[in-house]
Amino acid sequence: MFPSFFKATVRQRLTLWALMVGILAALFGAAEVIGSVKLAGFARAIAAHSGATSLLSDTDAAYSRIVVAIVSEGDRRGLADDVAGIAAAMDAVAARTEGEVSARAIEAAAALREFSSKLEGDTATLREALRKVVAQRNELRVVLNGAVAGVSEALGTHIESARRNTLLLAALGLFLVTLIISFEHRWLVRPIATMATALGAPGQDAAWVSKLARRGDEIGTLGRALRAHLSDESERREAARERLASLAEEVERQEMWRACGQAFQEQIACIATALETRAAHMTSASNELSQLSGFVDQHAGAAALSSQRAASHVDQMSLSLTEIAGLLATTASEAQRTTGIADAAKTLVEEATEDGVLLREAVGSISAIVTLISTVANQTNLLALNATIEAARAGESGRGFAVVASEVKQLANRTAEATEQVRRGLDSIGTAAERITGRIGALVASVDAVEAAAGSIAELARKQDDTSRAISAGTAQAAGDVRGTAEQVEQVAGMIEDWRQTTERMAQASLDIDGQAAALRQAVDGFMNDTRAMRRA
Amino acid sequence: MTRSIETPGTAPDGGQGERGGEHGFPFIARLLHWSTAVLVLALFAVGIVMTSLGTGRWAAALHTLHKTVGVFLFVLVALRLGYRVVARLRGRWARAAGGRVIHRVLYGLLLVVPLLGLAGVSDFGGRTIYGGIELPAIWPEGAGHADALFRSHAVLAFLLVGLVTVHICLALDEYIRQPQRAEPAQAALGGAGNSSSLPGRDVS
Repeated sequence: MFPSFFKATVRQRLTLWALMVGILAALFGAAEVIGSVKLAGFARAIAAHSGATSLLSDTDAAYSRIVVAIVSEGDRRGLADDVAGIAAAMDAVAARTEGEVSARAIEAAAALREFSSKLEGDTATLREALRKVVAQRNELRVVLNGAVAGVSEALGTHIESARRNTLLLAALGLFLVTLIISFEHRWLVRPIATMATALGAPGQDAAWVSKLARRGDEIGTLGRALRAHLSDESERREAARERLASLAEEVERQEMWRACGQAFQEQIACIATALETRAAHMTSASNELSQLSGFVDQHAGAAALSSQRAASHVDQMSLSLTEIAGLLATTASEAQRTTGIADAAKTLVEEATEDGVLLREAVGSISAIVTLISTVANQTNLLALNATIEAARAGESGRGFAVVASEVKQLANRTAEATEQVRRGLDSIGTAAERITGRIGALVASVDAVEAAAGSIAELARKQDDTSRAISAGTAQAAGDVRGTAEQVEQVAGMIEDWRQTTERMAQASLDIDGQAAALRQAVDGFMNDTRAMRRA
Repeated sequence: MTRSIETPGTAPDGGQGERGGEHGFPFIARLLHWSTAVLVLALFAVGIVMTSLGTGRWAAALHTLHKTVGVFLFVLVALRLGYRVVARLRGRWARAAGGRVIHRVLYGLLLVVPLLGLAGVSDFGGRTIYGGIELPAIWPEGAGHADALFRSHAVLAFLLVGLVTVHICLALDEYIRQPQRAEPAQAALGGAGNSSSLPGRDVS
């Protein structure tokens, strides 16, 4: 609802307040001026009325004189002056007053002039005129009194209304001023006080300041500036704190470096001292070593000779062992062959055993056939007996048959005998076969014994061979070792030679180190003295 | 509350008069508001001078002027209320309870004070205004309460002016506290959003 040019800045607000208070003050002043003008008017009216009243009262004596003279029919000579005076007073009243009073006064003056003109006339006319004059005068008095009362009433009303207006206007002005003061305190004084607090103690009231900064008036401008300033301030403070922290760190690091340097100097001094002693030790040790190395060189030459001799002996022994190994190999092959022969014999014997078994089986089968034949012979014998019986029953006709039967019976008996002989022969064959089998078994056992003996000989030869081989390998290794030893001894001799040279160089170096250590110590001492002096300074 | 939410729906109504309304209020509403303010101020000044004068030619002329302008103000306020009802235009006072109360009291006084004056005039006699128009009598003539009616008319008028000052202070307070719409983004946001909740200084 505000016009666009109105931004409620402090200046505009003050203008607005001035306008409002000014309007009120102007109204108040106008009311007061009007009231005073009116009061002056009232005073003038009252003064005029009271003057008229006093003029009227001043004519009372002349008036009573006229009335007495007319009523008592007395001397009328001096009356004209009185009437003229009264008429002049009436004119004066008419001039001082206005409105009805003035009209009445003019009427009264006219009546008096009429009365004055009739003064020389008869008494009745004069009385009539006097009655009129009296009536006019009374009316004038009444009107005058009424006017005074009206003025008083108007004055009372005016005073009351003026008081009311003054009271209300004063109350309104007071209220307006209170409002202005309280709201301006809220808009102007409190923000400024809070901003001062915020300036004094940054970090507090930050939200409040940012709220202020959104305002459009001068306080808003101030708030924005304060906010920028506060943020700058906090940034600067942060930067200072960081710088301080980094400085403290730097100091701490310097201190640490200094302590390190001190420790390092002391260590270096220690090392220099140790180096001096060590260099001295080394010099003496290298001298000793060079003496020792000469001695070791002699012994190494002797050792090389001995080892060469040992190597030739070992080579000879190795040759003999190789020969023994050849002999043992021959023995082993012989034993192998014996084993082969024994195996062949064993095969033969096994075949013979198998033959014996076959023979026994053949004897068995023949014996079965013989048994069959003997059974047939028995049955044939029985048959022949039956045939004989039948032939006997048949009688004569059966005689021939009986002869045949007996012949068959004889044949059967002979068959039985023959089979018995065959059985006996078979039994003796079986016995012979058993015996052969038994002998073959003995043969097998002896062949096995031969084989076992050959096997053990071969085993022994092989073991001997292994042993001799191991010995040979051992001797070869020993020969190699001895040769290696000889080489190593030679190498050791060379090394010792090198060593001797090295020790000589080392002695030289240790002398150098000694000098360097002395120089180092000197330098460190100087440095330490310098640093101490610097620290003291 | 409900009505103030509905207000955006009535935007077309207000949009017609929004030609110069950089603050979001329709031109008609602003015109009504400021003419009311000017009339109230003029009536207040004329009333004080008039009562100070009391009687006389000038006083009679001022009385007639006061009556005429008062009738005009009454009609204007009635029109304004009607416009408000039609446009359902509600200021931001809906959010501030104190402001809302003052708002309503101001409207009530703007209706009651002229009516009291008319009643007093009816009692006292002299309902004629400029143009020879006779105002309708709402009070029996010569009932004898003219003085009390005029006195209450004056006291309520002063109360009205006092409330107007309070209203000005509260509006300024809200205007000052609200974030300035100098930033175009914010202004665009406000323009696109709820036009009713824009700077609301719908006064009296």
